[in-house]
Amino acid sequence: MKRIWLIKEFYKKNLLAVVFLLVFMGVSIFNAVELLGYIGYNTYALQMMDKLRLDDGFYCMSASRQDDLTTVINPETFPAVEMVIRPKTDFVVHGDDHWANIMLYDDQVLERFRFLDKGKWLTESSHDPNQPVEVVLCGQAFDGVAIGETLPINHIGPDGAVDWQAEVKVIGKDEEPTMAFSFGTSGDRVTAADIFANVTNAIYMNKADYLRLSGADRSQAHSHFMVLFRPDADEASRQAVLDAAEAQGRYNTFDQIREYSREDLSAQLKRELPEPLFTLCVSVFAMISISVLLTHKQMRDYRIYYLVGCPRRTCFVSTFLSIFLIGLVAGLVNIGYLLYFFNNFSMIQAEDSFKYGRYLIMNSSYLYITLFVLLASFLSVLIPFGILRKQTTIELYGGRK
Amino acid sequence: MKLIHLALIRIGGYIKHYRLVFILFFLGAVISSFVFTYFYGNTQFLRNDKTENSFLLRLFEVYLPENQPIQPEQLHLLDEYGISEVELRHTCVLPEETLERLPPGVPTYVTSFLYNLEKEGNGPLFSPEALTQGRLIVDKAYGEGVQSLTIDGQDFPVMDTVTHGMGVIYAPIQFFMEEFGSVYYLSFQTETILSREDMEAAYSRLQEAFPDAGQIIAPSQYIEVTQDLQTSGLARNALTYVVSLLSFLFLFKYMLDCSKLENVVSYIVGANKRSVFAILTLETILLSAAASLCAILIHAAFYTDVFSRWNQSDTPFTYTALDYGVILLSTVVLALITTLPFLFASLRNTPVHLKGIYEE
Repeated sequence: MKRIWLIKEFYKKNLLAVVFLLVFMGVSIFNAVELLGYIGYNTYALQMMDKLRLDDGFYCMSASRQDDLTTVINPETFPAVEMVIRPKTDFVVHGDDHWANIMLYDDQVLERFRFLDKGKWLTESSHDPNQPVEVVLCGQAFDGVAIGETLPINHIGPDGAVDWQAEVKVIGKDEEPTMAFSFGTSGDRVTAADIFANVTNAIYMNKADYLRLSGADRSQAHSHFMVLFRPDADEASRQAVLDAAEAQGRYNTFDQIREYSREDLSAQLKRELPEPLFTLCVSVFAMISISVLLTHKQMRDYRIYYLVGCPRRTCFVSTFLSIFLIGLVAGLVNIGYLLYFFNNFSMIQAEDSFKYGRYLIMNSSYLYITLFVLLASFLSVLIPFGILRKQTTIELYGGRK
Repeated sequence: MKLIHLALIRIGGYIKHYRLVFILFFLGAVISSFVFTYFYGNTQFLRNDKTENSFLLRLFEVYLPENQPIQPEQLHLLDEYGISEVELRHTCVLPEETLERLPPGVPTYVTSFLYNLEKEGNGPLFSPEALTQGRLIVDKAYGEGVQSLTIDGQDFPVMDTVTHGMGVIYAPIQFFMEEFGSVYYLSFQTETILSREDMEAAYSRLQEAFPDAGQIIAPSQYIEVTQDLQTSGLARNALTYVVSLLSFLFLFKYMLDCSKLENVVSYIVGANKRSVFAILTLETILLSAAASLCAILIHAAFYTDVFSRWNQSDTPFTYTALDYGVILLSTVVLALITTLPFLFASLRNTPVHLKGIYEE
């Protein structure tokens, strides 16, 4: 209690400096966390490429939206092609008017790629038609749905009325952060963040199951797609596929996508990093300076504490706690902001409301904030510790004269 | 001179009696000045554009309400300023089945370049032989190996396909003038960035030549927008400097507060408040100028080897003596403005009150 009173007195006497430092440090950490989120998004998209083993193949962009290039480039026409990935989507309504994307992949693609964190992945649609269709849920919108539960879904037709409805059984979940293929981007330089999009409300379903439920294929797909080569395909046959892609559009190989992603990230970092970095450095130096200043100002009080029998160690611990609390509060405010965000929104966002457009809340952010606060506090108390340690009680008291 | 001497004595006193606090304050001021110097250079967008010879600073654009006939001599309106390219666009009607191949909302027009994109180093678009033939180059979206394209109800032969942009249709200039002969948009790109006067003169000439134009855009408009951006960048930089400096001014205030006895002595020997304020102001100017000079010297000494690599822009740029002068002056003025409340606060007490404090 006595120590709390001492800390309170410490703040009361230096209110302006403490409040200023608190705000400055809080804003500096916030800026850094925001940048960290941006880096997180882009590196996560790159990680997805590694996780899904997208090494040998290319992203093909059809020049015309009408031409389905997969009729030209496919395993039948080119032996070098192992598979073509062209996700199809449809929309359904679940719960109280909540929309969700149905993500449809070919069996071969489902076998190769697993967007799954918990439970089972989709298998071929060979189960009993009387049983509910098995699905894997993806994204923050399904946080409240457990594996094993059934979920009623409604498909809305073009006239706005429900044209089919079904109960689907949840067999697995892809938990946040959640990214899925998104092939809407076309250009000379496609990055990993362009071919993956954050998905907050998706239902992975087997294509055959979807057709059985809907009765007709109402799904849609972009005209762009991905091609994976057979590992044993020779260079000439690979080149033939690339030439075919070049003839009717353009393409970026996976290596190019990785290279462009790294280049873009590095260019963006070059533009954006200096400001948060400078403010972080200045805030740490300001914390060191202000802690020295406050220690100097507190000297008079320490003399009194010493005279009335307070040990030096207690004085030092009070000073350390007083300074540490400033950084701690600044760090806690930011951690609180992240937690609020984490609990109320998707971890992963790609909206213009953020400074950097794309954003991924990483668990490591909490660790970085904590480490930063600890480091800044440690550096800040080093000099005051030296000052207090150097002087004996008599010297300190004598210093007044 | 006497005031400067007194201010220097006070600074000497800070160094002697409050060495650690002074060192921290001075280092903080140097860091703040360094940050200001860094961002000052990195917000000089216009200078970077000029170094890059940015095409936006060389581009004059004319937007007409609809396709209007164009005469060959109108393409040479700005020749005396040195033109590297003239682009012409004719808005066209394509058959429904052709439009279906393009994403909705893609504008359809035929484009032609007077100098075949050669002067800007992006060409040639058409080979010398093709330039004399009446054949088009079109986007692959119209189909690989497409032989002809119907434009405005007329069939035109196609010689090649490209992926330069969604739905582009290129025509050789001579063919364009003969077959289409009207434009809704044209742009003139100068070889170099014109002076303000030349920009205005060129703009007036375009206004006279195209009185019906819906809009004529000159590089001066881009310059204005960039200057606004630059001003807001500098304001942000100034704010960063002030906030950064404020963090360290608490140390300065501490030294000022501890040196109130100096003020008492000054009052006792007959100095008025104005003189004491002048000494304190000079002190601030000297300290901020010294900190700024240190930052500038460090920055200039290591700029080529270290700091130029940290620049936000990929366009290389250097700091001139004038830049450093502006930085020095700006930091001193900003420091003075930031310190004023602290200085006024230190003068608030009367001499008698101050004397009383020290007699306690």
